Amino acid sequence: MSERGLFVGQGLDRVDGRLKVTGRAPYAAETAVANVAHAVIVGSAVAKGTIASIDTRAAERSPGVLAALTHVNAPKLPGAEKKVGPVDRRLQLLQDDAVLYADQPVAVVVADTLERAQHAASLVVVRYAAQDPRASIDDHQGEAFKPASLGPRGEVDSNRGDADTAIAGAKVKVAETYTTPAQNHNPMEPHATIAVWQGESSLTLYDASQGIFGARRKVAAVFGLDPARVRVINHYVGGGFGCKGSAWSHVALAAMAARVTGRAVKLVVTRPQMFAFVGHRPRTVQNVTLAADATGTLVGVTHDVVSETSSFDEFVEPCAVQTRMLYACPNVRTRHRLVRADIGTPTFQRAPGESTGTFALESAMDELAVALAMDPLALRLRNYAETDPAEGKPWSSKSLRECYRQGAERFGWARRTPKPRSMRRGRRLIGWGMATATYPANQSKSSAVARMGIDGVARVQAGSQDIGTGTYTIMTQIAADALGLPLERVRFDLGDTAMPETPVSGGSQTASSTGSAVKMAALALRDKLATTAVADKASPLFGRSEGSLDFVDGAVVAKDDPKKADPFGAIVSRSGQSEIVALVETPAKEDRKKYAAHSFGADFVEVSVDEDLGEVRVMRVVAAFAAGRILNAKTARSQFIGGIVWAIGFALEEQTLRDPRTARVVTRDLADYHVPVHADVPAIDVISVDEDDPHVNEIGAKGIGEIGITGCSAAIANAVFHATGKRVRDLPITLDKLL
Amino acid sequence: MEPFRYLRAEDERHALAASKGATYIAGGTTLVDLMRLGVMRPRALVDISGLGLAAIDADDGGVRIGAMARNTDVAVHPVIAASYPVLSEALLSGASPQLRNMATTGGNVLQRTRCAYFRDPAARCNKRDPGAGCGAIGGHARMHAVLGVSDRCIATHPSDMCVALVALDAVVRTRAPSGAERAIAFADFHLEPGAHPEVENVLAPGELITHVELPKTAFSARSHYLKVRDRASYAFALVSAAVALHVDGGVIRECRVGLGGVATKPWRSAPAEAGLVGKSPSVAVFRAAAEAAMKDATAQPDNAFKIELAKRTLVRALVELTERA
Amino acid sequence: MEKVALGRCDGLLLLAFPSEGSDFVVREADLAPIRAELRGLGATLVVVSATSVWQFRPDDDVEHFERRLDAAAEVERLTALCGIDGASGPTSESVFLIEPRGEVRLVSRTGPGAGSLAERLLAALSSAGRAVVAESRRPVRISRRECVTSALLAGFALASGNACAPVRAPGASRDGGASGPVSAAGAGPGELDVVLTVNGERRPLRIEPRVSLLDALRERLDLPGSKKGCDHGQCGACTVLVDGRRVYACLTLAVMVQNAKITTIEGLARGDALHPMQAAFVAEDGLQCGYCTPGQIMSAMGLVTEGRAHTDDEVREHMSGNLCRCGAYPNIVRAIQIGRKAI
Repeated sequence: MSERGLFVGQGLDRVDGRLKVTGRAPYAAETAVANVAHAVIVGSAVAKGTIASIDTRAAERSPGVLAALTHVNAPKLPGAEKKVGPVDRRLQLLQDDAVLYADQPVAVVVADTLERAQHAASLVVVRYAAQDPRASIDDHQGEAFKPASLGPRGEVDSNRGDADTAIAGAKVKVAETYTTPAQNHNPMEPHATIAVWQGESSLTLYDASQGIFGARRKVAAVFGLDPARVRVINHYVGGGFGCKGSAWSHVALAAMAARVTGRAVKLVVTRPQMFAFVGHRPRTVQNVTLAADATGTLVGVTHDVVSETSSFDEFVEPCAVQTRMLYACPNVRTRHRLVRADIGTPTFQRAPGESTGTFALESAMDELAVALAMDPLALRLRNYAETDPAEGKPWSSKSLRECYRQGAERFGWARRTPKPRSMRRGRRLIGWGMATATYPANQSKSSAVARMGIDGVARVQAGSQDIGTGTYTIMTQIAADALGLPLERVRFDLGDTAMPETPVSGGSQTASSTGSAVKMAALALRDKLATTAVADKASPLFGRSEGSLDFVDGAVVAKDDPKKADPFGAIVSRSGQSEIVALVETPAKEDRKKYAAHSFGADFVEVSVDEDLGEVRVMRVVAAFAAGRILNAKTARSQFIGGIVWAIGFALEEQTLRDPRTARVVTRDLADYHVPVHADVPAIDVISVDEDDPHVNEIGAKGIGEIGITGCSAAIANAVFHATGKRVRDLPITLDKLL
Repeated sequence: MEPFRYLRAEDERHALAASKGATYIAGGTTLVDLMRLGVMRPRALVDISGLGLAAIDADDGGVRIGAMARNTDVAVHPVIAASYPVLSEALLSGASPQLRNMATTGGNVLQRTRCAYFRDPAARCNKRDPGAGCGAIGGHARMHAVLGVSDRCIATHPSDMCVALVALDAVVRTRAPSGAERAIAFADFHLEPGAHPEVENVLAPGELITHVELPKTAFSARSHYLKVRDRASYAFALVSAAVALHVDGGVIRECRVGLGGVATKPWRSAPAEAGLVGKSPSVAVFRAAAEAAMKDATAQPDNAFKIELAKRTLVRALVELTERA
Repeated sequence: MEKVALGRCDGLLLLAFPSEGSDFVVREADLAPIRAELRGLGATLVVVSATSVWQFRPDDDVEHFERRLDAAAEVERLTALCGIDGASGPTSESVFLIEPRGEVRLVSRTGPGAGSLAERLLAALSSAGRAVVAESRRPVRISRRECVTSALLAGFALASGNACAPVRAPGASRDGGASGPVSAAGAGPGELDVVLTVNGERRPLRIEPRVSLLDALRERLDLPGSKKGCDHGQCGACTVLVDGRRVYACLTLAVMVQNAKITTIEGLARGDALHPMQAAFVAEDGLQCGYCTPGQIMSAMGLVTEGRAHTDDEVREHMSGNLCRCGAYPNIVRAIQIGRKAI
């Protein structure tokens, strides 16, 4: 489906932009609910042990308090332990006295105002039978165990050829350990849920969610409800990056509080709590060995990963997955292992696996280039994979070579002097680094509905979520093109489980999955309109064959006689129905399995480093990406830039630190957990390399939400090495590591 | 947040009369933050924003800054920018424009530490809860102090402004509920934690900061603030240096050295000053002074880097200042 | 979404028979507060006039049925449940409550009252909601249905008898330590009468002194445009202008800014016309998820007024008190540089 539409591809303004810049886009916690009560979660002070006693008397006596729920008095939930999917999490829902991590929910206090609920929560007195917790996996690598599964990311371990033998006999080797810290998503909008019961068995949740259907399944299971009677609504999401992809404990706790108090209840997670029970990117320890011959051709690669998980759940950061496919090499072995700690369960965070994994792999490639005295870009071209090395399949499309070329040219890579510390500006050392970016083109089953009313306006819906990626906008563009309608006559809605089911907004798959569904629904509606018109004696198109028709400006028209047109609204009006509806469910494209589908990119970064003080500043970034069809040039560029800003934080700033004795997070706010600020981010030059991919899905889009962060943190680290001669393998590169 | 009584004071007398058992609130940037965390729990607040203490008056003798003068207004005041550049630079390197629009001079003098253990009511902290122990010692102490520390507390004083003020020989003017006025030399205002980290300054209960005075000196106009931090803006200092030099005939006649991010109080370094006075400015002289400044530093494993970083920061600040002239 | 059968719901069903409902026009502006009340009650509202039937669910489009054509059987069933003669209808304005288990009670009486039907319905719903609040606070709780029923009875009667339609009070009156205006000796810790001037409007409030300006705006004044990202002055999402200067509303006590002019993101556009800064944010895609956006824009307004940041680097430094986790920074900087020229 490579035909070019009028709107798809154009850099149109966000259709929800006006609402967002006027403050009138209501996020979950802002849903207007009269007389809503406020719930506040009390978190555990200790990280391991049991609750010896819990006293809520003072809280209950506090003015305005409606309930103080603890494991002593909370209703028993029939499905508290039920898992509704392979990556579902075990929740902490006041069902027992166990404390599994610091700041775990141990009580929920509900009051008539937020201030009263917050204060009463502080009056709950908890005594613990505490044990010494484990805060870090670093000293426990010997306990590493093989996880049950890598979820959707393939096998836990992989083996191709004989990597160890190849490495043993190789001329040039790099074998190093790379570590990345625990990180937290910290979307600007904290998690929030408003829960309203309609009677005993029907529940509506206004929930900050990247996956409303998953949230519905989870909450229905927990309360033993029919999922059809749980409705999750979320029209605007204030960022997610993975943490809002699962329904965490607070969602069910809000529903529990509403049930107990007989009130609509709002529960907003505090910023410190955002570090505790809504997931995080786990710490990783990655051993990478690269071996090459004298020409730089890779002969053997191993990538062994250990990441942290909680004491009660498994989540694996799939760091080595891209190592299986990024470069041509006959001998590759990868392994993923876990070590447990007394922490909340980690989760997907923007480009799980590829963000952490490319830091290690692409740093190692830079080290190999140094060892070979070879240009880092030349080394990557030397090992360019013409087909997917993992499965031997052809690529659905791959324009990485073009990304390297255009990126290097725009950046001026050829002017780089290879020697570290060879470039400077005053007291600042200048470094140039590069790396490869990659992320798989995912697609899941999705569905959408398109309706045409007598007003000639198309109403298109798909459950879905817009987490800031531009889903509202691109779906409107896709539907308008498929229907031959001007944009103002397409209304696209999402964010409600009463709409057709769609996958989670994660894995960069919404455009490909739900975009395909929207396109197919719009095409089906178009065809229904044509069928209705040609069967209608009153239509100027009566009796024509459907193949002789076109769809222009909201009307079915005869190709050979454009004056013969039947407007959509008129067709519906004469049909005697109030609207004509097409509901479509799309599986992944049939021939998709024959191909390996990935987005690729190349990052080129300039940093400056203060020679004495070690302060690193990213001065410029040029990044070229090839990600299939770009549906909206403007919002796509924003996605790429956003990913690169994440890479700046990833490389230089972000880390969640826990106290080694108490396992409490000490970087528990946005002053101590640094994310990039305006002043950290230079102008970013994004090149979008055009690709026409007929295989990947109906709309030819591979997904762009995550690739920006991949590779780039290694490019920054490589640039820091080039500037200073210091190789930092332990992120973030804070200045103390450069003194 | 605990419930509290609120009083908007009409004038100083009114404020002082109401001060018993109460806490003054000015910009609120420290107080509201810590009250919401449950770290500070005043039973009553006396709002002093209506006291008419926001003026900044300059005359031949120096500058008199009202306690309610907002950080922004102080920073951009033409006399301060021209004659006390270290203060202007320090203020503008601190926090964010919004916080600088809110935060007041008196409030910033009383700014409390950003120690994560102090701010987390579930963690141990001698400052918040005397006798409870110090979580930072043996914990994560990357942001913590290496000068003026005790075995009870290593919390850093976080203010940028105060580091500049200690290098400007500023004077804190106060009035007690009795009506008595005091002038306190800035270097004497804050206290090292010692055995009592909960006592952070010499103010008596109810004593109200009314002004901060900047005397006219030979070194104030040639002064500079340099701040080193983990991101380019909106971050607390890992290390900062406030330096002021009076150079005459190629020789440093008088100087002030303040250090921030490394000490439990706004730190004036007498050893560094002693190492500079009488010498001709040079990197070697600066480095020797920096070594002297950090001679007594005591570090945790996490923050040991601050000792070397502080030396380099001080040298750089002095180099930049001498280059500028 | 498929049309839901009339009168089918899991929670409370409210059935209203207005006396002059045939000219009832559903306007979106009337709808928002009705939706809010229905959400709070977990209820569905069905309005039956001589010729038409409207079904209000809190999160769906209002469904309109021609009474005779589309909904005859359902209306008959419902009206019969209420003991009303389906053909002639009730003789006076009335509202019935039907509980999930099918129990029915008449909860309101005569009409027509003053104000539009939408206003009278809202008043009845709002009164019911307040009653739920009052009842759920009692130490010994009566059942939810009893309190809703009694409240509706009171509410519709009140609305009908009141000459001017009651407006939903921002923050229903609450118990505990109300102490009126701030006296010389100070006030609180209970609620105080406070007046804030927001976007040119005087907005009376009854709040405790510990209420932040941000929570006053978001939770009590229906102005959720200012966002809560951290509640500790570390993210900038709550940035508003107080007397023209940008500040963090989360660290500002509402009681302390009573004499100030407060401008929030909702006060920037003039009618349908975006402020040039807002327009520039849209055109330059200076936003993604949009949650930091109101704060970024209000901060940009402060920056322009201050006039101390001109180059891109200066703008970056002077905007660093506003985090954007989506990473829209480069576009925000460009939007500010373009937007400021158009002001």
